[in-house]
Amino acid sequence: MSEETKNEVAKSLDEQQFEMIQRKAMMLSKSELIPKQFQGKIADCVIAMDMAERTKSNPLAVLQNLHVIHGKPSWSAQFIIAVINQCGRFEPLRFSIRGEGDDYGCVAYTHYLGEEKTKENAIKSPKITIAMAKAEGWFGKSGSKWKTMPELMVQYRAATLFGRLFCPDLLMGMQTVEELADIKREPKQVILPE
Amino acid sequence: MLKKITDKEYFAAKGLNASALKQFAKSPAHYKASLIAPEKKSTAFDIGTLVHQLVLEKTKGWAIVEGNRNSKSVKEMVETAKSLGKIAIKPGEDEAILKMADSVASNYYGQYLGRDADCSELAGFVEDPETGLLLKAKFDYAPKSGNILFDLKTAQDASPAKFKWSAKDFGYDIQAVHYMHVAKLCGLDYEQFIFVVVEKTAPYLTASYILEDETRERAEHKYRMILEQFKACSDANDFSHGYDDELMELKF
Repeated sequence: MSEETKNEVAKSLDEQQFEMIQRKAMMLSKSELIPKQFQGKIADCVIAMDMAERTKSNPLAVLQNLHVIHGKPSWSAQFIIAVINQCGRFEPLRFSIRGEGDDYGCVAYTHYLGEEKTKENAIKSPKITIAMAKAEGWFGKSGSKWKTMPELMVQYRAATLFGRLFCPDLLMGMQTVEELADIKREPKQVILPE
Repeated sequence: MLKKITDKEYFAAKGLNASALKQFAKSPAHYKASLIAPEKKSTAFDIGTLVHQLVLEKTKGWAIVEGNRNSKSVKEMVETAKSLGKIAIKPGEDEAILKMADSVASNYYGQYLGRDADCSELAGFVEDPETGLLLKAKFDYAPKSGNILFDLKTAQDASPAKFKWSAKDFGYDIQAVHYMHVAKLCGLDYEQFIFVVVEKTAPYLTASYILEDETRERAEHKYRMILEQFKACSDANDFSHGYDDELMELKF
């Protein structure tokens, strides 16, 4: 097969693939089962389908767990845990919760699939503590879940950091809903008339 | 693409404005009905118009007419005022209008309204590139500098708790998105839309609001759906659809 023919075949395959993705995205965008913010948005559905392929997830699961917070796409922490558990690289993620008061915290840990499950082989997230949440300003924020659900928040944040350290490719550089909720919002850029 | 035209010329001109789209969002049947029987203007609407004229155009568009509104002579005076391009108001109402305008002028954002008469009450007419629909909007204040498109509102209560619900009821989110869309298509690069809201009763306080990012994003999505649905009805020449026949559950 000549180089020119190969290029033509590749181009034709790309076009076919693109058409197929577009058709699937169009179908998804018309479904009432997907969240409202994606309904009618073919381009967003194409991106979600690509994300689903990369994370080995169902497109519907991606759409259900992809949130736009302050204009930025973000994952839910549950989804990150699910992606880590099903990516085929690790044993299911586990959590070690210890300490009291400001020292109360959590480490997310697991083992690479196929490796001996010893203490030495364990791969761990940094320890997330209440002291850290206070120092970062997450705890004191108005409406913060750190005050009402500290156990859940330390686990979510530990899992997120685990994912960021050991499988950043699956998170695609995106933050979680909980992280974005903790971030102080920038004031709106208002430029007054002269 | 921006024109300085009167309200009468603006309403007579072709194009979908924010009010029409809000009617359509209720149902295509509501939109159709609004074309046949336009909304009746109330006294509150007149006061709002006069405040707009005073703040944005620096003109006093009223004539004070005393007496019983049902008497023949007063009715004639009201009609005479109308023929002279004035709105007839009762004694005392002018004082409220002046106080409302003063309140707007002393507000941090409101002070910019009407500073440059060339930027007040400008109408834009554009074609939506995605649907081909002709859209129109009349901007209260579109300054030549800065990144804010301003809108002046009069309200019974401008407090955040109340205005939030008024804004939702009257579809101000859709209006803001529509105006920003028309402005952008007119080549105006505004990034923010600010509502300057003045209360109609003493102490005539003024407050300024901007849509929160997520609310604006949701409104942009809703607006796009409205335009697409409008286009579909327009293509089918069918605006008869009202509420669904199926039983709907009420949830409080």
